[in-house]
Amino acid sequence: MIVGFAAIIALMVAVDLAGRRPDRRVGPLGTALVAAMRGGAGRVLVLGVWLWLGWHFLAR
Amino acid sequence: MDLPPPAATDGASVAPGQLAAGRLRAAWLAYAGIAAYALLAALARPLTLPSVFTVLAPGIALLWWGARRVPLRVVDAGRATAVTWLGLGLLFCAWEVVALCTGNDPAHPTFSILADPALDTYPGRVAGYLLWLSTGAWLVSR
Repeated sequence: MIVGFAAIIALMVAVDLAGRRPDRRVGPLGTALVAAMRGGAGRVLVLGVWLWLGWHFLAR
Repeated sequence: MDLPPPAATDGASVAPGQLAAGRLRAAWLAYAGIAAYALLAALARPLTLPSVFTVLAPGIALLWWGARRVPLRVVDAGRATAVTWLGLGLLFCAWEVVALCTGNDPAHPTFSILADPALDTYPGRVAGYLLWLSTGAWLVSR
């Protein structure tokens, strides 16, 4: 399990770093999040997930 | 963190240098506020009423403010970016479900179980609040 989580997070970091190169095809995570927050529903969804993560890891 | 430029209240134009200094000052104030809040909020242990308050107070405030805010700029990430990050997010969730269904114990831990030892300590919670609040401030300032 731990190896799986480590591999997925490492893959995310690699994709994010690759997305910062000028010749990239896939953008970094920040670009995807900002694009998802273009509309009202997207903003509520992204911020709602953020709030849930804080609740889950810091309060529950 | 890119914060919105301060508004000129007297109708006069603001010089670029003043604008940059104002934004820098606002960013430093935000960082200092987040750091101070993290140091205090981390005193509340998880599963207590104070921890519920220390998460929900800034969380609901930022959600309310961020949801009403008009985006500074419209970004079109492209199909490849959207599909890739959605896929990675779903992959993470799927692995979490596998861990949940195969035991959800130290032998088959979910991500939450893996994070618990760090978040049981004060420095770990400070780092958690710093990461969570910084992310929230970054998101609402987009």
